[in-house]
Amino acid sequence: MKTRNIYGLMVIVSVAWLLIVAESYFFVAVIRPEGPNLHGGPIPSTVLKLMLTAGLGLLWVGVMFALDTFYTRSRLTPTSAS
Amino acid sequence: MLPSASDLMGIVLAFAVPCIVLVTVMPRYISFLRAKGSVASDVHKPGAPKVATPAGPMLVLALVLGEAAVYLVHESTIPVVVVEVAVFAGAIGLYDDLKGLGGIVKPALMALVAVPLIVEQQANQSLYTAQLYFPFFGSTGTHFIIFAILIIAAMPVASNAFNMLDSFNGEISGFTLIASASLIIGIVMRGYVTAGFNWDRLAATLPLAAVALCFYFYNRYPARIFDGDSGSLMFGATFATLAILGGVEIAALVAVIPAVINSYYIILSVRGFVEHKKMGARPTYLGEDGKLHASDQPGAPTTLVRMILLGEPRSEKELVNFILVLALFAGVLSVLTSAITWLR
Repeated sequence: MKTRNIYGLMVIVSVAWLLIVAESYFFVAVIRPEGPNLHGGPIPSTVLKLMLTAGLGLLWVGVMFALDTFYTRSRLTPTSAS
Repeated sequence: MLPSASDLMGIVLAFAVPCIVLVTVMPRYISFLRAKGSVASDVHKPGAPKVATPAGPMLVLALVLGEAAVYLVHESTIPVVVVEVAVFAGAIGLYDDLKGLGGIVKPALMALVAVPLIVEQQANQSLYTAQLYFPFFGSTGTHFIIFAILIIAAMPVASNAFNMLDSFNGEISGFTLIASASLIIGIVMRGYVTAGFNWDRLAATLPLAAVALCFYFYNRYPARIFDGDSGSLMFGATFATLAILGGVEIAALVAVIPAVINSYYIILSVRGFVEHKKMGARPTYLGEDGKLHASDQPGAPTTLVRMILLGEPRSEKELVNFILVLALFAGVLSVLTSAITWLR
């Protein structure tokens, strides 16, 4: 039974998980101390924190897109001259 | 904190009641649906045999009775909220099964399923804490409004992620079972380290796992019944609700990464929310060898299944086993996430 694809997909799942853990560090260590609580802080601080958080989401989406492209290309490219 | 005898009774009943209901009623329900002509073609098998559908109403009933058992033992609001969400999501799914809903209307309606969670929190502040607990790095502050917005966003994301993964025999029931098992382990870890933890949060999670487990025996290859959208939307919405009530949202997100990736790739490849019946091309096709192949049509959506089948055609049974291995892998990562969140 061929198992090459399942390992590739496990890599994608692992990267998705690592990004969640790493981004949660960035969120707690960098974004959260940027200003007071959202409902108590001034608007510029709130907007900055929301934009940085949205940036984390976009990073996750971008990395997943890149992995999909890489995975699909690697599976569709012939690896031997048969 | 360890559970008391009454907590343990709630846990046993929460698992046993849905299993008894499904094992007793499902065979008759399948016969009833077939006699009524409520069947769908299983297009991934040669000859496309007819299979009874939808199992959703019976799955909702089993879940409701399981949660009722939890309520009788604990007299807690938690099972009530789970029932409200499951019934609401199941009803939207049943309408979709019978009449059909558009690609945009379905997620919009599923966002409304979050209403009981938000309203009940106003009456009972201890229902859940409006904050996220991250692995290693602690939690956010308590923000009810932001948390409510996240709940409203999470409900259509989770339910549609489960719905989009529901294509092959035993796929959604096996996936839900593995994901809810990860959720249960996460809640146990949280309960173990949290003083004054109410074990009704764990008991309320068990009916979902019990329903998924017992339904798997009817839904696995070769399926005797399909869950329909009434089943898959209920599974997703209930899973999200239990993750919120259990305070294990991040671990739950990790457990459903395969489903999230699947729906993300579908939405990206078809450029928006498009109902699967209206997609230009199917992601897979049944070859003359009886195996499933990845479609090479340009308009075919990118799905997890299509990615698994790229260059490696498989039988349906083999394919679902691979998806469940992937779900198990995500489940292990989810348990690891719970461990580094609660046991550090």
